[in-house]
Amino acid sequence: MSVVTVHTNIEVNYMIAVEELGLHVKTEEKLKNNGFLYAEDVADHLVKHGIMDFIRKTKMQKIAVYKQIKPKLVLFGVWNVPTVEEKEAEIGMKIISTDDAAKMLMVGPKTVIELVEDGTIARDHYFICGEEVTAYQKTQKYVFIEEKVLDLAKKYNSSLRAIAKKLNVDESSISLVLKRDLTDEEMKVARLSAYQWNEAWIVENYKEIEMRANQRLRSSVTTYDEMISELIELIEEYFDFRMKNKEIIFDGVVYINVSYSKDARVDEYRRILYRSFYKVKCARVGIDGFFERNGKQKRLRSLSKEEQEKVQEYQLDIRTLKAEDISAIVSNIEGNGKTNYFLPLKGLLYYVLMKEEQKYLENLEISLNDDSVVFDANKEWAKIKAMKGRFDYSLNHGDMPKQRGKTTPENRKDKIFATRKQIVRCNYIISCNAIPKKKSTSKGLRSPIKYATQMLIGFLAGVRPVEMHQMLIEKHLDIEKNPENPNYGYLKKYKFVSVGTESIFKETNRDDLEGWGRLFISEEISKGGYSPSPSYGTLLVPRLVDQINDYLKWLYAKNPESKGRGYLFRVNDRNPDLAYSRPAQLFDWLPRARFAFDFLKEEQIKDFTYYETRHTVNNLIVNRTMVEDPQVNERKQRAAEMHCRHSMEDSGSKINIGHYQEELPLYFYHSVINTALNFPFDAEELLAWEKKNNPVGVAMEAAYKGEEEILDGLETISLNAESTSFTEEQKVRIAEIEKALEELNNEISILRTPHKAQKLRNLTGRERTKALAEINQQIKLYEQNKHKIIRGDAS
Amino acid sequence: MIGYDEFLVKCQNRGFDPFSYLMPEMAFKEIDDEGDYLVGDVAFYASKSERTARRWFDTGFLKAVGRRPWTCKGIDLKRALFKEFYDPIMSQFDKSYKNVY
Repeated sequence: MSVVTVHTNIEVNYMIAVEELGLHVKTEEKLKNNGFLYAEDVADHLVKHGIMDFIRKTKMQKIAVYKQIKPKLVLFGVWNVPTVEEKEAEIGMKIISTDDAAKMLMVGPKTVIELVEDGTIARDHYFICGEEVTAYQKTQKYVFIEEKVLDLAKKYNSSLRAIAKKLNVDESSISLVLKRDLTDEEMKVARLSAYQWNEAWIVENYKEIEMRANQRLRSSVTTYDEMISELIELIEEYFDFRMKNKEIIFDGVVYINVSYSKDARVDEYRRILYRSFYKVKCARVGIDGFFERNGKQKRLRSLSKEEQEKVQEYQLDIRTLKAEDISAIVSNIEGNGKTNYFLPLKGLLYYVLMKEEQKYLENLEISLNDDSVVFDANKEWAKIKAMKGRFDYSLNHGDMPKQRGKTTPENRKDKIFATRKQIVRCNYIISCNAIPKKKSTSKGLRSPIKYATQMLIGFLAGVRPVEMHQMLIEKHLDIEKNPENPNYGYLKKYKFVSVGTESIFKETNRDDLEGWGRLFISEEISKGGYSPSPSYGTLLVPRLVDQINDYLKWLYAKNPESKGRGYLFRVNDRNPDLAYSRPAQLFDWLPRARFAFDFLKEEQIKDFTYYETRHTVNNLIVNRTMVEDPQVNERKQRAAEMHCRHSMEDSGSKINIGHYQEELPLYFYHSVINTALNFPFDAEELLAWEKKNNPVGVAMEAAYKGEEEILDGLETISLNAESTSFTEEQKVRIAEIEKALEELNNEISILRTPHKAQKLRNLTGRERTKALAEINQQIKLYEQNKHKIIRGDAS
Repeated sequence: MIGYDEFLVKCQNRGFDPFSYLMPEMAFKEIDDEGDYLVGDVAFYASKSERTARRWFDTGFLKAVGRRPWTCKGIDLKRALFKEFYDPIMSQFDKSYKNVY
């Protein structure tokens, strides 16, 4: 019989019994009665649950614990964990409870515990009760070092509002950005609680954090650089060539004879070419459905890894382009967007042909000089010709139209030439935000002063969008540049002093209601570089100068440190260095607002764009003003060209007549603009002004279009009782009213002087003023009636 | 501080009704621009005491046309009232101005 011995590892934990401690009898009894048989239990309880709990349980006294039990436990090596006081002596720094720490951090105690468990409060700032330090209460978990907590409080010492003010950003936007774009770890560095933020760190890194959103959004529009890496060199070469040289010649024929101007949108073309070759590659490799439908649009979908590798490995040679490739390019585009792809592609393909031709000629020369080289000239040339034929066929028959559909008379857009009255009405609608709200939650226009300024600059100064989106305050406006001047940052005003046909500028106050201003549109920002302002600047009418100054005041209030510099129209009004990225973006608000323009007909509303303002200005100056001085009247057209900065080199312009190539003298320019654009904005005054300065135009237009409102104002409001245009009835009534008015005027002159009123009418003090007011009202009523009768209304 | 005349021009340019901002309304509506007003009338329209009105004449706050008794024209009285009640008027004006702009 074999004996199987089983060895088990039994660790004999030698637990020290309570009796061995050598305590007083009664303490031993108490301990045993409460379940403490071993010294380790006692020590555990004391360390983890705290002394107070122990005392409550065993009903012993504190002194007993500290002076009897504890030294024995320490002697026997069971109590290893120091108390709070001992720890303090060890570190040399004061230790505080969670409640005190919470008060220092201005946070609730529960959040302090959450922060510890998150990791926001570093490990060396606290001690865990029960493991490193003895607890005092059962519920105590952590205990903190005072110095470090104070450092924390100093670090997270400000609120979001203060930080937003310092960075000059909206409060709501800063919280949005931080919550959205910070990683979890960075959030711990930046934020302690809702009201405690780390100012220094945020101020340092805020710009980076803002850029993250832009990167995220822009990364959705990829250019597929990696997928077509073999073609990038060729495409960049092509763009360089186009920027410098004008012509692409092949076989003696000039196919393209324009170079890219500085306004050309090379980035767009680059994007077009990259994407089109990516699509070609996808189609050739055999990837099905490389686009997917997203509502109405067809978008390029992201490929799986295998598919990506396939596409990257395949090397595309542009010389093998076929008609099917073109249809693949156009497969996910609908409508007029296809026409954008034609010209860049054509340019590139012909550039490739040109290069092939050069290679052919070089090889030909080498072969002629060197007999050993075999070169079949006819065959090589035929190859190139076949390539060209293939390119032409695919471009013309590959479902890629060259041009958009022609404008038929039905869908042709009519230019809108506004009258002065319509300008005033437009300005009123925008600046008073009198746009009816379509939904209950929409708020109308966001910043009406900005939009009203834009429209007025268009109506009265004729600035193009291309120029407007790059206008800098310090460079292109004639502002006061001396910082000590109280008008620093606002447009200067001038008056004109003329001697004969010469006039010069003379500066006036900012408060002068008739001061003019100036704009300087330099060559760099002007369209095509050929239409800068004249040497004395584009003149601005007083009404426009006041409007621009009000706008500048509003703008400077948003960011006072940037007074006197920055872009005039900004994406974010607080940041002076952020211009709009495209000129069309300046007028994104117009389609939303133009349905409220009640001075236009319905068909005109759809077509109303910002450019109508330029048509208006030109038309107003040339066709709708009549200057009394005939010398000045002749030069109206030239003044209009100078004001709107038309180009003299435009082919098709019939302006090549007479004395136009020189700059007009300031006197003529000023007098034309004064009579054309310096009109009042009050309805009645405007009518009177128009009758004086534009009588023929007004009458003709009114008769032609049958507009009765304008015809109304043309009738004279003279008090000639002998005029034959009044009927007998009217004359009688007018005579009655005039009689009554005479009496009233006499009466009022008595009441106006106090001593007469007292003598003759016995009226003093409050009675006199009451009577004065009543008589004034009566006079007003009578005069209104008189005007009505004269105009022929039924009274 | 802008003047009464400038304020009217501003209102006209923006298309606002000046009477919706001017206070006291009754004063601005009733006062005749070319009438003569005495100390008692000034005190009534401005809701101040006669002592204050006399002080206004004395210091030049109100432009006087004659003494014995102190008289002023209506338009000058309107200008002085505008100066006196400048803060409530312009704070209302600026608020609506800001809402619009």
